[in-house]
Amino acid sequence: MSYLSTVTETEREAQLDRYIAGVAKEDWEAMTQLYNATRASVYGFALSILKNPQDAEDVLHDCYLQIHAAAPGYRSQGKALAWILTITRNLCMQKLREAGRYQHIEAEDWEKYVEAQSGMDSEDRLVLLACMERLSDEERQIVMLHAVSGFKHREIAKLLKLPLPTVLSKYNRALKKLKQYLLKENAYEEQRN
Amino acid sequence: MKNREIEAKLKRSVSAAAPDVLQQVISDCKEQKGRVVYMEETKKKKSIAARIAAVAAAFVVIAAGVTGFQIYRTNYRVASVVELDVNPSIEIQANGKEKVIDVIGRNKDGQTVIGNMDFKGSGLDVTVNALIGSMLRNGYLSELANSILISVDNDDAAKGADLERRLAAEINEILQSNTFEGAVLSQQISDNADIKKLAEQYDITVGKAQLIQQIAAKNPLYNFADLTTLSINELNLLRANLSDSGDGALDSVNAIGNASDKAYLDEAAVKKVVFAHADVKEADVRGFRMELDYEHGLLVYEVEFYAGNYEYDYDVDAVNGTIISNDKEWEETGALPIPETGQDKTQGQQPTEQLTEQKDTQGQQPAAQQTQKPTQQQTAAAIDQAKAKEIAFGHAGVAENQVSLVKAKLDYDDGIQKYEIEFYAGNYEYDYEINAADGSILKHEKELKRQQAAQQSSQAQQPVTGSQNQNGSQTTVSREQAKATALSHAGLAENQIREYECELDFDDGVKKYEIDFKSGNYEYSYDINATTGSIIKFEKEYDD
Repeated sequence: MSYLSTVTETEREAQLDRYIAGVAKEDWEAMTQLYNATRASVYGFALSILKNPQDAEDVLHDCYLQIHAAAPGYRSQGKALAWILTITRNLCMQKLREAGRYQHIEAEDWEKYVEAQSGMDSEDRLVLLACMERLSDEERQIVMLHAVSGFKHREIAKLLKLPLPTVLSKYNRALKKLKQYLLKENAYEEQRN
Repeated sequence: MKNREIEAKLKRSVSAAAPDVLQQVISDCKEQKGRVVYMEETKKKKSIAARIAAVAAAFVVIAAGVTGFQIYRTNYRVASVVELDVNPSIEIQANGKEKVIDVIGRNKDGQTVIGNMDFKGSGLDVTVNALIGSMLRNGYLSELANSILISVDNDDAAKGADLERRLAAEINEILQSNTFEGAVLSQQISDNADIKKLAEQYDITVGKAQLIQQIAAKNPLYNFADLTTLSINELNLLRANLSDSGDGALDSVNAIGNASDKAYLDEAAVKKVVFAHADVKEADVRGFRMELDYEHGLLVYEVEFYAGNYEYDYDVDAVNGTIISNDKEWEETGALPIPETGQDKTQGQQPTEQLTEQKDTQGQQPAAQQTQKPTQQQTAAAIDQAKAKEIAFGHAGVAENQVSLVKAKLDYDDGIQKYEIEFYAGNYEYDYEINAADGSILKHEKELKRQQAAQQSSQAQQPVTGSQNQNGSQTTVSREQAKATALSHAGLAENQIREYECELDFDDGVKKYEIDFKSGNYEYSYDINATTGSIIKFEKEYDD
C-alpha cells in the first residue's frame, strides 16, 4: 500500500513537472492539464485560508497567472504541488494584507454557498459546511491539505511552518469535530424522518 | 464514519465547488505576454534611469569585445555574487575581473527588472547601474519605498568589503540624483549553512535571509517566517526602529540614508483614527506614544495613550489605518480591580484603611512584610516571563499563591523591552516594569485599593458564597440590560454575534457580569457592573 502510494506520488509530481515545463513554453494544453490536476488543491487551500469564496476564486485565477510567469525559472525538485501551494499561500497572504482584515462571511452565507453548489450529495455538502464553519483556521488548512491535496502531515508542517506534533494533534482534533458534527446532523435527520 | 470517508467527501465537495477559471487564465496569460512587449515599445521619457540603461548598453558592447581575449577559466569561474533586493530580488554572478557571468531574477519582480537586457560579459558596475535604472523605471524604487539591500559574497573578504563599499556608494549616488533620497543597506554574506537553508526554504536571497535573521535575533517578538514577506523598505524601517530604540544596530549591515515611511500614515492621521475610535479629545490625551511594529503579518503602529481614567492601547494598520486590536483599561489609583485568575473570587475581603498593613486576601498565609529586601536580578541574558514575575513578586515580598494576576505582558516602550506586570495581593495593587534584558526593576508602584475597600464595606457586608447567590438589592441590572449595554458599546446587533456567554461574578467586592462573545474575527469581552450597569472593562481582540 505504502509502496504503491509512493509510486503514484512520484509519478504525480513528475507529471506536474512536465506540465509546468509545458506552461513555460506557452503550451496551453499543458496549462489545461496542470489546471485540472491541481485546481481543487489550490481552491481548497485558498478557501481554507481566506474563508471567502470570491477571494478564493481570485486567488485561483491569479495563481495560474503566477505559475505561467514563474514557470520559465522553475527548477524541479520533485515538489511541484508544494511549489504551487506556496504560491497560493503567498497570494492569499497578499490578499489578506491588501484587505487589511479577513473578509469573513457569516454562517448563514456558508449554508447558502454550500447549497448553491452542484455535483455533490448532501453529506458532501455537510462536510464542506462543517469544515468552513466549525474548524479553526489552522485545523481547516491542515484538513484541506491532507484531504484534497494528499499531503502528508510532515509536508503540511513544512508548508504551514508549524511543528509536526501540532499538525498531528490539530488534524486529529479537526476530524473528531467533523465526525461529531456529522453524527449529530445525521441523528437529527433520522429523528425528523 | 472513518477519517478516510470524511476526507473523500471533503475532496469531492471542494472539487465540485472550485469555479472554472481556466479559459480566463489562458486568455490573461496570452494578454500578459502581449502587454510586456507593448511596454517595451513605449518607453519614451529620457529619465536618468533610461540614460543609465543606454550607457550600460554601450558598455555591454565594449565589454563583450574585451572579454574575447580573456582565457576561459578567469571568465567563467564565479568569483563574486552580488545580490540586489528591493522587492525584486536579483542575483549577479561575476568573475574575478568583475565581469558579469550571469544575472538571475530570483523572483517575478526581479525577472521584470531584468527584462530582456543581456549583461553577460559586461562590467559589474555597469550592470548594477542598469538594473537600478530599470528598478526606478518600473517603480520598484520610489519615494514610497526607497530602500535597497546589496549583499556581496566573495571568498576574499577584503575584496568583498571593497566591492560592497564601492557598490553602496555608487547606488547611493544614482538614487541621490533622483527626486527622492535613497536608503542603501549593504552587507557581506557570511558563510552560514543555516541561513542558506532558510533562504532556500523561503525562496528568498541569502542576503535577505541574513538581514531578516539579524532583525529577528534582536527582537524575540519577530519570527523569521513572517518577516520573509516584507520588502527591504519595510525591513529597513524595522531595522532603524531597532537601532533607534537602543537594541543596537545590526552588526554587519552598513546603512546609508533613511527608509521611507511615506507609504504609511503619519502621526496626525493615526491620532485622528484612534481618538475618534476612543471618543476622546486630543486635549484630554496624555502620554501619547506610537511606534511602528510588525504584528499579525502587517506593519502596524502600536499606539498607547491615557485619557480620563483609562489607558488605551491600539494596533493600527500602518497603511490604511484599520484598527486591528484595541484595549481600554481602567487605570486610576484604587481602581476597580480586574483579577484575571482569582483563586477564590467569592470570598469577601476584609476592608482595611491601614497603609502599613498588608493583609492576605485569602487569609491562609500571613503575607510577607513589605520590608523584605528586593531581589535584584542581574543577568545578562534575556529573561522570560516567569522569571519576570518571580522578580516582581520577590520585590513585593509576596508569594505567588497570594497573588491574583492582572496583567503580565512583554512590551516594548521607550526603546526598552520590558515586562509589564500588574497584580493584586492583599489589599494592594502592584505595578511593575521589569527590564526583559537584565531583569532590573524599571518601575514599581504599590497602592492601597482605597476606593475598592470603601465600596466593599458599603456594598458587601456579608461575603457572598457563590456566583449563583444573587442578592437582589445589589443586582439592579438584569442580564438582558447588561447584554444590551455591551452590544450597543460594541456597535453590534444581536444577530451579528456568536458564542455569547454571560456570567454573574463577584470579584473583590464588586458584582459584575462577565460577558464574552465573538463577531466577525474579533473576540469581545466586557465586564459590566451589575449594580450600576457601567462598563468596568472591555477588550476587543483579533481572534485567529
